[in-house]
Amino acid sequence: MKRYLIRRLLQALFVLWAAYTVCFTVLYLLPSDPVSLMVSGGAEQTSIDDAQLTALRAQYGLDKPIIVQYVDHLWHALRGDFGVSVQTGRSITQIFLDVLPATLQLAASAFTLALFLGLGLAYWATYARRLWVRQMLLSLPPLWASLPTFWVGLMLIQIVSFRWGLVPATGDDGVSSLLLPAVTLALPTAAGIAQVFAKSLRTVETEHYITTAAAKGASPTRVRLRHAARNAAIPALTLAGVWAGNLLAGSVVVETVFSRTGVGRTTATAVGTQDIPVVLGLVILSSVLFTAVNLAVDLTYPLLDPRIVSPAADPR
Amino acid sequence: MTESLATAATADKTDPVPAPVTPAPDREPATAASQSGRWRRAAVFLVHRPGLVLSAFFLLTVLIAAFFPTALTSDNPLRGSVAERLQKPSTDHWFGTDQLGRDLFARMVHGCARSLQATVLAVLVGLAAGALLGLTSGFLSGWIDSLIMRVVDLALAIPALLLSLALITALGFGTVNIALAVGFSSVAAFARVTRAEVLRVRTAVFVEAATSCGARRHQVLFRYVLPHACGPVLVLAALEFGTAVLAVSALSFLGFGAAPPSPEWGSLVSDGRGYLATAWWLTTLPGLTVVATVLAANRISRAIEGEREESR
Amino acid sequence: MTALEDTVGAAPAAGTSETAGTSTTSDAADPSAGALLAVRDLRVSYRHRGTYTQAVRGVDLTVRPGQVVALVGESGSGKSTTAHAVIGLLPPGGRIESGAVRFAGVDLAALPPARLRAHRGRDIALIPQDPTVSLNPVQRIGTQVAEVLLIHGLATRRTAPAAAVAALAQAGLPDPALRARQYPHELSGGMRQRALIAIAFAATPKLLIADEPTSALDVTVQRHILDHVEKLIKDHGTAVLLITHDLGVAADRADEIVVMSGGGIVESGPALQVLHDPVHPYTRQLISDAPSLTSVRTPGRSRAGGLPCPHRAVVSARIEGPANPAAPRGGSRAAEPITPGQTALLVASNLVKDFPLPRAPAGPRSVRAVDDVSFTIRRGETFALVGESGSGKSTTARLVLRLMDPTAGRITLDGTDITSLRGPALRRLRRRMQIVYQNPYASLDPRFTVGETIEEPLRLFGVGTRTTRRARARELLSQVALSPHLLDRRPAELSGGQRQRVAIARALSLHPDLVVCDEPLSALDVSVQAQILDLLARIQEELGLSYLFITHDLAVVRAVADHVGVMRHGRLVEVGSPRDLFDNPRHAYTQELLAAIPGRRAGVAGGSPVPPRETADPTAGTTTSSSRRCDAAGPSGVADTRITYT
Repeated sequence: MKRYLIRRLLQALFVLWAAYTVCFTVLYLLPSDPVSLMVSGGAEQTSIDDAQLTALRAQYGLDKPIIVQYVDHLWHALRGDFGVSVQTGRSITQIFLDVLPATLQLAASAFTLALFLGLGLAYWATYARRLWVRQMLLSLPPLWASLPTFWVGLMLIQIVSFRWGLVPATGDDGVSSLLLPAVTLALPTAAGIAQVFAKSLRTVETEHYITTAAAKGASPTRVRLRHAARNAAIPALTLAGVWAGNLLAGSVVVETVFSRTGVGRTTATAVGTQDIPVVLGLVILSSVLFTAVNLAVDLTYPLLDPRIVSPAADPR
Repeated sequence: MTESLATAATADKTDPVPAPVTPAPDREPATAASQSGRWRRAAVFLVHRPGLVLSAFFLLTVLIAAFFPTALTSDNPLRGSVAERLQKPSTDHWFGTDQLGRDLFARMVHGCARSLQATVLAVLVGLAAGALLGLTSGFLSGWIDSLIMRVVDLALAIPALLLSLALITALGFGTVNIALAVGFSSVAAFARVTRAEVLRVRTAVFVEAATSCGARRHQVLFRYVLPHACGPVLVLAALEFGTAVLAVSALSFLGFGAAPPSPEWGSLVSDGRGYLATAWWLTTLPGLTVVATVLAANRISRAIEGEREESR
Repeated sequence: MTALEDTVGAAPAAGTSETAGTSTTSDAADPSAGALLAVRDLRVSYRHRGTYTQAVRGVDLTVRPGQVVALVGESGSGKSTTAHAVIGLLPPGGRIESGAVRFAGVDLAALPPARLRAHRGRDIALIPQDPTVSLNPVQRIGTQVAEVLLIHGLATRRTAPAAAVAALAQAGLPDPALRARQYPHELSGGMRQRALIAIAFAATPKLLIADEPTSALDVTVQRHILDHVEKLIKDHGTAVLLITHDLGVAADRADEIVVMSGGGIVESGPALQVLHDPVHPYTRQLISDAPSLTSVRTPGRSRAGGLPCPHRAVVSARIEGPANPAAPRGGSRAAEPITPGQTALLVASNLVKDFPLPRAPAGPRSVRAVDDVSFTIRRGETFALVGESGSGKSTTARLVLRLMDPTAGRITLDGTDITSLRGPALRRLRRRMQIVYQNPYASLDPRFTVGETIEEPLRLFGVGTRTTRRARARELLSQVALSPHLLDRRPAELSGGQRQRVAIARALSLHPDLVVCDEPLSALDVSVQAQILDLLARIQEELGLSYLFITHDLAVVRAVADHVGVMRHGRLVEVGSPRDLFDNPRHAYTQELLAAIPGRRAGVAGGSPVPPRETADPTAGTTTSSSRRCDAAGPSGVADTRITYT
């Protein structure tokens, strides 16, 4: 167990380093001039002459060889320093920490919602007694997964806020303003969870241990909850890391639609103004979050599936 | 002319070959029956799946819109009359008009071109690069495999949309850049699936049987492994089409696509945001078109997948 | 699920006309008097695409307290469906059409689900088919055993764990307290089956339904487990309905045997009577096909022409025929001296194969799958490698074929060292050695037609033109007794036996010297096995081929091999002629393997060289109508006429 833990931890660190390297490569090596991108970003035309550009390059260390820049950045990043925003001059770590709580609140409520919605829907859709109920419920997840998040958000605002006037359309104060964004963000994830869970419930149905359980005289509910659902949930929960990634990415769109502060909206703004250090910093910090969730999933995985840690019996 | 002569000659040559010992009288009718039976089965198959037919029909329309927009609308997507601004959908303007009096349907149709071309480009980039990586990785194994897979793992460590955003920051805005960004961020997934398929097929008994029958490495790869491995990859490509439509329109919605006057699906929805309370059609109808396209693409990819599983 | 397979196969199966007449379970006064289980005119059907197909057509069955009744049949005979219908566990789509399942006077078929559940696990228990997949992988063993006690209120939450451990101990599981805390994947197949037995016996049921309880296990494990079950049922006076495809197992364990075919019962009666004096041709067929019962068959040494049933005839031919030349004894076990007149085709010396292990915290870096194995295959002879799964026999075959590289050792073919051939030379070697795989469903590329499959080796080596290759494919098809009509079919349209014939034809296309048969029978039904065995023997005689025959089934070995090597844990523990091995096994492991062959206890095989049914041979010829294969082989005895039945 200890070994497993250490191995997963090292893997996570490696992945983070790699993510950093990929982002750095993309942002600093692609054939574009970071400085002119940065200063021209947002504003249409800037009156900056070559001398000023050179000075700026020196200021951001962009005149050094790329490998030196890389090591330099990495070294600072390791100490939690991702540099400052070109547009505002604020510390990127500070920007991130300021907006993180709002995003975490949104993502957590969306995930809880998605989990209940997804697992519940799949269970109901698999075991509903009437055929048409089953078919109707099973057709919901593919539909949800086909809806563009930004459009769902706008539709919800249009109907729930404007037409019914139930909750505020935008902003971020209180639970009522959290409701619509959370639903919007949860929908695609719930669709994914429901599809995976429903599929594995159907697969598990034909497993022989289900017959064994039924032969013990167990009631259908007992068989479903103790034997079928328990096994079928494993694939859905293994993908929790993927769902977390979805939520992080989805927050970019959802926060923009609902005009909420958060990591996603800040990232979108930084992309809009081509503020390269901010984009790099936010993507990396999001990846840290993403990797942490994945790590947590991996570490709880053995509790769900004992086959992961303890070795199998003699293969013979 | 010469070609047909040559075929005739070979046909002549093959004919005098001693007839099979046991003539097969029941063979001709059997093939004929199976031929007509195939058409009938196809018809029955489609009649039982109206959703699939509808999906194919819709996707065809969208494709026509993408390549021959003038076939569907004669209105100019960029010019409108202020007198006709913010009109509700009517027989004159199927989707209504926007705040500048431009016909929304015309803008939607012309937006198809950009959005769909971007989607197709994205899928092709992902498919080509991913399949190549996965194939190399799965077939060569050893250290090359480990190296490629490590790189793929890295790409997967960043959520796809965030990676796309980073790419767009570096590449700049525009429809093509959106397409490239979405395409590159799907490379890893394609590489994974391709490699897994190659590995699955490569260890199949019939592939070992081919080796023991004397097939060379490249013969094994092209005659046995590839045909079996490409199915799931193509299913993924079909599925990725829907995902790419969503990603492309999301990025366009965020404002990273084409510059303002020219329409795109995402930016059309975004443009309508300011009129949510007064002109519902400006956001609802373009969004519905995107939904329908994604649903149709997913329905078709599910049909392909289902057929493959059934034929197994 | 097997029950589902049963349905598919049941519909077209022949031989149901005589069902009604012969299904006289025991014509004593009242058959159900004192019966524990009385199945009367049971009909079960499955829904498939809207239509119902009957899988069980009017089955009568009686099990008395403490009695063991074996339900024997091939896959598709409806035996599993019958068993599942009794306990009310038909797979989705299955339903009982009519009939009664009276258990201790109560008709289970008419009970509401909740009342039926009260009997399940309490009065009627099930030992499922495949222990490796029949336990919930994410629950501890103890919990799973305790569950049955909790459901039926036989234990409380506090007493259940101890009761579970006791049940595991009773099932003969060593260290039961430890096992109870483990998960299924931490146990071997045999131990898992014992856990399932513990579940079945936990509530001391009156009736036990054992559905092929050991067919997924190795023979030696199989015997220990069956012995233990036998002891348990004796102790508790439990009645057993034993479902099996293996007449040998039925012969060993059952008081009564019921033979099923095509969803109906074709014969039933006391075990000895059914085995020694079978009335129905199908039963006789099963008996003659069961390799474990008539293990003295050497096809290939002489062909059965003109005799009514080729298999039976082959048996007698072998017995009357000249005895094998006394095999050399003693001396070097590894490479035996070569008898004059027989040249060695392939010599494997001191083969070793190590596989690297995934990096583990402790323990060895690699596992030795083949350990110092040496043997000689002579021209025109069959060398059999026997061993249980994991013994390294298949790896040895792949080393010989040069599909894998040995870690150490030497392989020579016709005196030429082929151990380190590479590139084009290795490719040329492929022409001389071919392989027939265990599973014909996996070894043929599903995209290729039969013709393309058979021509593929020719094409790859550029032999002949398109037309001559096609002609050769036709020739090969007739050689393996398949109709040339099949040339344009794809594997999916063929039966298992037909596919295996296609695989054999492909192996023959390049005129190889050596064909490796890697468990070529184990994926096939018993009757098809006999046909393929015959075919292999006939081809060997016609073409002078050598075989390396890999099998886990000693009975098959006795039928085909000239020399046998017994493998265990990667080592060759004994080499000799089949006669030596069977009559005078020297290694303890060989003795154990022999003792584990089912059917020996009933005295129908093993000890006596001539199976008692041999005397019944002439009558077999007179029965013409319904025996599927004897009939087909017909008076001509020509294998080609059997095409439609393969």
